[in-house]
Amino acid sequence: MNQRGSSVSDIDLCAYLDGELAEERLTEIDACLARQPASRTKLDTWRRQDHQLRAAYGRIAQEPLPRQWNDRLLQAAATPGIRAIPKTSAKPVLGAPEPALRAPPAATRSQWRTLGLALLALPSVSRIAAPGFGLTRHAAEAHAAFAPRASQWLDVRSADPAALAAATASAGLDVALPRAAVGMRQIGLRLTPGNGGLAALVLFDTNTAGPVSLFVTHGVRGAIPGLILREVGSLTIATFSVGGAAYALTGTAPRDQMTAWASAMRIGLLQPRSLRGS
Amino acid sequence: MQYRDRITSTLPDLRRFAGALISPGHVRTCGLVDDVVVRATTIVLRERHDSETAARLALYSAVIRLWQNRDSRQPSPGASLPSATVPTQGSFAEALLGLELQHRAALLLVTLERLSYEDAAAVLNISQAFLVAKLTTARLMLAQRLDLSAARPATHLRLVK
Repeated sequence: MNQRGSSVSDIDLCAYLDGELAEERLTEIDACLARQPASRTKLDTWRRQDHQLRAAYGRIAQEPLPRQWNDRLLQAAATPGIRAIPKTSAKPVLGAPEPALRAPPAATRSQWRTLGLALLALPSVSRIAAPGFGLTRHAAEAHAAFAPRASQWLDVRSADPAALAAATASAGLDVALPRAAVGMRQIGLRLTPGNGGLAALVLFDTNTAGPVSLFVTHGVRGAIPGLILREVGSLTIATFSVGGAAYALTGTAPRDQMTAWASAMRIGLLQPRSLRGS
Repeated sequence: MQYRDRITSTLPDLRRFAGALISPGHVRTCGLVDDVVVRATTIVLRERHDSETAARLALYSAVIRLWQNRDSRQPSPGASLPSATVPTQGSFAEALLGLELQHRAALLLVTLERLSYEDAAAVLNISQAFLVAKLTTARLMLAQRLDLSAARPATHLRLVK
């Protein structure tokens, strides 16, 4: 029924309506539509829907913008900090301040674009130097955006660390991923933007503390000596680096628990590769 | 044009998108929509995107992410809207609101915002094939819902004393 050249699939109709078909296929669809009244009817229905949608909401863009926006945006642009989390009180609890992320290698940038993930923000000097603009901010934003909805939008859904490692490697993110610590269950992985280019957000479920995420990205400028614990609103974020990769474990579990989980992961990563699976 | 000016020039479009995504039952934007738009803009203002297109896509993406995050804690998005806004014709808005967030976003990005499939897929962080599938589903479901609501018998609107 949906054979190319003989019939019009819904997907073809959709692309036809949106002007996304190649010239050659366009001619084929035109010919098919002339023979198939049902497809024409469907196309007309969708066209009407589109028109109705634009008519209903198009006028919103004509409304004047509220005057107070200008002040809010000016203020926001001048103030560093985490905006996805309502209350920010980022402060180091243990260890030294977090190091800034370094720029991604050129290969990663091109792979990032190839993947169609067009949200890469090229790091600037001011961003690297500004406090609170590094690993913690990205980990907190990624956690806030994705961890509560671990049931959706996962790029890889697997409890197998090897499957996740293969996915990150094929996306151009060459980092080691730790195994789930005791009390955590690995759900899957989502690729996400980070200051250092492509980053991975590994999602875990826990019996008592809800979702926990591990933000993993390319290396840091200078190693993190041990664990750094930060509190951002209700989130606790434990950051560490191993082998040139930066890790941030984020969740709402008590500090001691987050420290124990992060330590276990870090120690696991520090082991020789041959012993990690055991 | 400065980076900030480039961002702010896209705000009317962003507001239109956020209004249709978040509160399709209202033709005027409300405080909730505006709050999401401002928060998304503040996030993107701090990122130095190297082109106007990249910044615009990042804005759409931030709106979806922020609303998705909030939506997950509030099962009924329409319930949190302020009452001072003006409702559109019910059936179309209801049908649109009945779509899953990602389907609704895909439809709005392509139809209302007229983004290419490539750009819309980048906003939603999915492949183009996945985007077309979502778009097709959204159109089919919308048509089905509108059919159902048009076919609804008028006796449902009885006046009960």
